[in-house]
Amino acid sequence: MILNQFTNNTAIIGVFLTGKSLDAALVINSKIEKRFSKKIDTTASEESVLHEVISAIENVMVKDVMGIGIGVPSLVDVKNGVVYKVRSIPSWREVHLKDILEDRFGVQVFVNNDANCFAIGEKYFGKAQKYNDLVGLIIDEGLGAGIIFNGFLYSGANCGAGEFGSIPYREHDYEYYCSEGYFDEKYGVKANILLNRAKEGDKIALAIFEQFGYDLGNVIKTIMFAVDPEFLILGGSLSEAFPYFEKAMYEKVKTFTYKHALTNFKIAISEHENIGLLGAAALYFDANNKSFGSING
Amino acid sequence: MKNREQNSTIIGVDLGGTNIRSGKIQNGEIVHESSIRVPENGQNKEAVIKAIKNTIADVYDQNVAAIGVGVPSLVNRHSGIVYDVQNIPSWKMVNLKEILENIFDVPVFIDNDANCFALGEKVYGKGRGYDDFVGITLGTGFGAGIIKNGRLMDDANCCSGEFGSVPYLDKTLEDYCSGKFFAQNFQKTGEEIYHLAMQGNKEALEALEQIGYHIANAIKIVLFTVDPKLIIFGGSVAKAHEFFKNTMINELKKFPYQHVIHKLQLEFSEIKHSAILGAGALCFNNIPQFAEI
Repeated sequence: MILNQFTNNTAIIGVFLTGKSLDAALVINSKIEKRFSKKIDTTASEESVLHEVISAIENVMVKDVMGIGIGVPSLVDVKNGVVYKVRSIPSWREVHLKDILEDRFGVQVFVNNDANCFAIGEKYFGKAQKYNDLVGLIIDEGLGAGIIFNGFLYSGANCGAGEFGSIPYREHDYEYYCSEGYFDEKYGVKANILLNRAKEGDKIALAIFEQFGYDLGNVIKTIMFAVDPEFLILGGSLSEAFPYFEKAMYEKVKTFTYKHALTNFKIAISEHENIGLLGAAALYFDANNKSFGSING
Repeated sequence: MKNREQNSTIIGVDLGGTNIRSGKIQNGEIVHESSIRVPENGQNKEAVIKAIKNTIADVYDQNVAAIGVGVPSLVNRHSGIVYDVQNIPSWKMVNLKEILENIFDVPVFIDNDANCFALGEKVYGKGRGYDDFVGITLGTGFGAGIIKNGRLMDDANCCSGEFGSVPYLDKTLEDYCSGKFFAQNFQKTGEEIYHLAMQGNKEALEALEQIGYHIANAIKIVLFTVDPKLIIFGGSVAKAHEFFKNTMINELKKFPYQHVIHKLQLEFSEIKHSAILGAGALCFNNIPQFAEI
């Protein structure tokens, strides 16, 4: 557990924007004290979506809030808090979120992408609390990853680190084979329907998830080769199919070249439904602990 | 214990698959070197340990403050245990740090050889002044080390940056971006290809253009995974960069995020004896305020 001056009794607002919904929460001592959720019109104008975000924050705002963290499904310039080409919100091509929200609310604002929020959320509030080197892998509409290195988010020079989904694989890239859209495109079945069939023991659905497990195992091996984490946590809608792809995934991971590394490596499934939202709040702790020094002294 | 400062005398040891080489380093220069072939094809664990000990003893003197060893294997950086060393089959698990510290009575640091290359560039080469970059060796194999916040990335098994093993086309990146590419497709070594290219040999020039394309794809994967703003290349294949640089840069123009490519800096190592110097640089990795020489 991370204990330091920044987590105790500090009130932070976390905001999590996905292609479908907008969530804002007041987080104090790892608990969500107040929450606002809303479906948003993703085709609306830039100003209109921005207005939704601001009013969501206002809904959970209290007077002693120290900072705001916001997670967005896009490329992010973390330093300047600018989001680019936001997935599912076409009008958000370049939004200077940090500047806008800091002007509006007068507190520190931290912006990052959704996968990084997931990873830092697991580090501060979830299953990854005892690990310092880990990767959070979200499998849903896309394949996103956040890297925690030495206890802190690792974003790279352009916030492009962890884009494992874009690595060429078979005839496309990893994201093509390891995200929701693949099942529809390849087999003509929506992922959630396939999952229900697997739960009922449907042999074809089980075989499809087995193949998915092999592909996911390969992306995990690539992650091990690239950043060598001690822990990997899976999240996103497709992680619910874990019981059906687990065996194939491990089978592939076990072919990793360095056998000794396997003994130091663990994989788990995220079980915290609000981890992305909490992780957005944790962006505040990550940034302030980073400038304060190592969290482990 | 003697303090390690930037003018400290240190020893760098390169445990290669074929040779063991130890060098005494003063102010970034190798002042004394000793090398020996790996004995008995690496079949005898104790014989290899003894050979390392002897090459170090050849160059050791009482001014030596620390020893760094680069090993082609997984390493537990903290305990100094090496696992499954390439080309030394008898070394499944050797507590090299403890063994050498008992003999020489100075701190010993062990790390993966590709990490040593990157750290060598940080301390002695083109990585001076940079806190975040990736060092890639294109030699008989493909290795990489990641420098983060001015130090080697403190990963779980010292195997981050093993991009060479990432699946690529029908094989792995290493098969297309190292000497293996020339051996498998042109039945020549990297050295031979380089010399032929300098004489204007068409096939050799073509081979180097092809490898430029594959190296660009390796760079894209590095950008997708760790997103550095500087990459420094070393190793025998990198020496021929004048012949593959253009195709490499052209292929990088296809990367989806061109602002990333515009900011990216690509450099080629100019350090001689980078394996020994890189191993020696390990003596400075653990110093909080990095000593730059």
